[in-house]
Amino acid sequence: MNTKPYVVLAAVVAAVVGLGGGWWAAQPHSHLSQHERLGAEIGCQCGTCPKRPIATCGCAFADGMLSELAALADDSQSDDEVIATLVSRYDPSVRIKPGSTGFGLLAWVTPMLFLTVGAVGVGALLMRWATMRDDEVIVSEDEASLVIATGDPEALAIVERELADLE
Amino acid sequence: MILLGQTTLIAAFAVAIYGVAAAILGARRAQSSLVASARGAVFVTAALVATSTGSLLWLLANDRFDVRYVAQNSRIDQPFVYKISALWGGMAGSLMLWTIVLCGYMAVAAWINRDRHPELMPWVHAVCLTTTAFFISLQLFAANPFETLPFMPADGQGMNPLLQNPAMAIHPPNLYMGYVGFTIPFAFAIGALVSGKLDTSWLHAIRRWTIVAWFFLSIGITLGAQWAYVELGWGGYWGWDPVENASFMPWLVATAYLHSVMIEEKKGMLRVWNMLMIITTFALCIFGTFLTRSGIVSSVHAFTTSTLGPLFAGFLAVILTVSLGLVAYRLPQLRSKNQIESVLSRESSFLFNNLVLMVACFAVLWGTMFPVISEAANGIKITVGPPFFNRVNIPIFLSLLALTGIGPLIAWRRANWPSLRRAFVLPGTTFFATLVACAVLGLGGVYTWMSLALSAFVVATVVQEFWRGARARTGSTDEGLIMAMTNLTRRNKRRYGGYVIHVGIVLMAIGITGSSVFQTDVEATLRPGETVDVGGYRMQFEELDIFAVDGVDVVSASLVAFDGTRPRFRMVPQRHFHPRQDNPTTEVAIWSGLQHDLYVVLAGWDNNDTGLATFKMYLNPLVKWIWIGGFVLMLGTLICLIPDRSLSDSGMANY
Repeated sequence: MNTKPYVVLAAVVAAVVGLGGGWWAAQPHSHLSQHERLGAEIGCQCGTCPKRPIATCGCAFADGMLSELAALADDSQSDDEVIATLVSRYDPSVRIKPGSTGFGLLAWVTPMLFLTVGAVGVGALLMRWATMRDDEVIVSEDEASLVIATGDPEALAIVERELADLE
Repeated sequence: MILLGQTTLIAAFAVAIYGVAAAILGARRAQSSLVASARGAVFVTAALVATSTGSLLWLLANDRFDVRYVAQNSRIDQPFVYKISALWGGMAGSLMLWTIVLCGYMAVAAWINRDRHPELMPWVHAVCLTTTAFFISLQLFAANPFETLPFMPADGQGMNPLLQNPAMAIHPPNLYMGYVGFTIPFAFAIGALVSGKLDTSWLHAIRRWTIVAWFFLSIGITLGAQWAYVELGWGGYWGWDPVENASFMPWLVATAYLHSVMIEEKKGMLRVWNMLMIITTFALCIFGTFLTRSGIVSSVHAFTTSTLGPLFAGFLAVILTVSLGLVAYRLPQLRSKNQIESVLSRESSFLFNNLVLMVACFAVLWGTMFPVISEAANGIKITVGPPFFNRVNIPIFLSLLALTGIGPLIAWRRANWPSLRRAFVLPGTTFFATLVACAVLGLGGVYTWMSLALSAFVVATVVQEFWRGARARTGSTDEGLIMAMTNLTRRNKRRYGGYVIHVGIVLMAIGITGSSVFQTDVEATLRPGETVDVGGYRMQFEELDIFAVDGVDVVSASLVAFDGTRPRFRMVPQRHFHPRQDNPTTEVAIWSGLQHDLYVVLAGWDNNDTGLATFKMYLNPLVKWIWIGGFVLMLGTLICLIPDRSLSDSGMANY
């Protein structure tokens, strides 16, 4: 059976699933409030901690940033506007989560693509090996009887095992 | 002592270079005297580096502040244990620790294998000595620990107070024992590639070395997480910091190798893949060292920016070029004649396990390097923090957890449906029962349900495996169940030790899930006598105290935790102001139980005698299970490391 078209189809599906999964992962959690959501995406700028999310950092500087965030959210600004304001006040590294568009989306998509395409690759490899193996274990009756006639117990065991596998 | 340290370091460099030349010439000309001389060079280099390290330790212990490294990392009233641990508290000293650990490993490997693997050992010596020479050269030409100051300061600056913690005193040596330990498997792999002796002897030779290195890396990572939890004061233990990631990546690849090597041992397959795994693991260890010292990514754990980055990058490039070139050269000999017999086999599940582990490693590497990549690509540095790593890695690690349970249930070579049905009944039922229970109880979201259900699935798999094996023994012998399980483990330590490791991983997964999903936190500003509720506790603030201990100014708050009306325990969070340090350190108060930890941080206070103090309080469920899981993982690894009697009799136990 020519399996090539199926492998290509599976690879395309995997690529689509990977891209879709990456895109989905990049999207913000909709069930959280803006304050909670951005609190987990804005990094503390105190300079001593490794830019932990201000929602969980716990230092006084992060608390100040949380207050700023709350004030900006109260002004009914969108996520992008809040982030733009904080970037202008601090630094571009204030946002510790890559964006869901542009180059930032690449960060999300690549690992997912690696996973799905890799899974198809491993699956295809396994199928190929298994198919080759099945082809190999077909032993002609003459060969089998020859092996049995020689009385080599090891060869006999191999043939019996492979015949059993075929059942 | 300064002269002794410096001289022995120079001598060690010269001897190491000689050893490399002798080993290569000895192997090429088949001159055993030259190979023996190279082996001697290994021992002499180790002795010289040990002397040099001892000199630096003496200088640290004796407050020789005329040495720049001592002045920067120690002070007179620093506790003795931290004067010693200052050896790895700074850049130059940490490179010295790398070198001495490597020397220890290569000397032991040279001694154990003095009469074995004659084709491989010259190349093993050459690789180990080259790596040693590289690290010594860094100390001699870029970060000299014996550099002196033109004057003798009255006191030193002292080690970073954050590093003055018991976990931090033992975490780096363990981490380095892990990192550096992978040099030996790498050296054997290169030896096999260069000599063309590509049978399974090199695999057998590195089995224990790989497990030992993995063991220490596991301890190092766990201790690092505990240090972060206790010392950094943000309520968590893993922040996906680049330096944390640097230790995690080789662990992931080494874990993949420890699984896939079984396929090579059993079927002679995946020979190229396993070779690449060993090379990648070592390259990632060097990459991690590069990451910490190059300043290429920002991290609280990193050493100060230095000129070492290009040197490490160059060394890494040489490692990859040479080893991948050798793999390409030996590709025809490395190709396996065997194939996997069925998609439904344990081999297949191991292949998927390898894929998932490699994807996890890639995701961590990608996220760690993405700021650099984005800046190089479009000039804008896109920072990548915990939100990215958590969201990308959770599904990957859930897949891994599933494969941890599935793998042992599938037979080697070829499984059939009836046997699979039998094997999956108990674990599968446990999985679905836990999933439904989590959903009914409303425990978190889908990820939480999956994590807990898959954990239950893996535990059921392990219990079933032990039960089946033990029952088979009790049926054929007069052993009781416990004795049967013990003997079962003794007869196949690698397999059952591996299952114990799986249980450790599950306990850690439960701890991580519980503490991540169900953490509650409260921030409160209280006057003395006022209370605040955290989880099921009522926390009453008693008083604020300010005093000095050993030159450190301490602001200390006292709180009593009530369970209902009954006082249960007292908690004392503090802030320490160390001399010559800009920022105070947070000394967290932690009450730890099996169900949860109560974690209190003194976030601020009013200096105007109002007695007001601000606290951050966290109730972290199940955190203790992470540390317990770490212990179980170590126990399982130790079981795997116990030599088999049959191997001892044949002289192979030393491998």
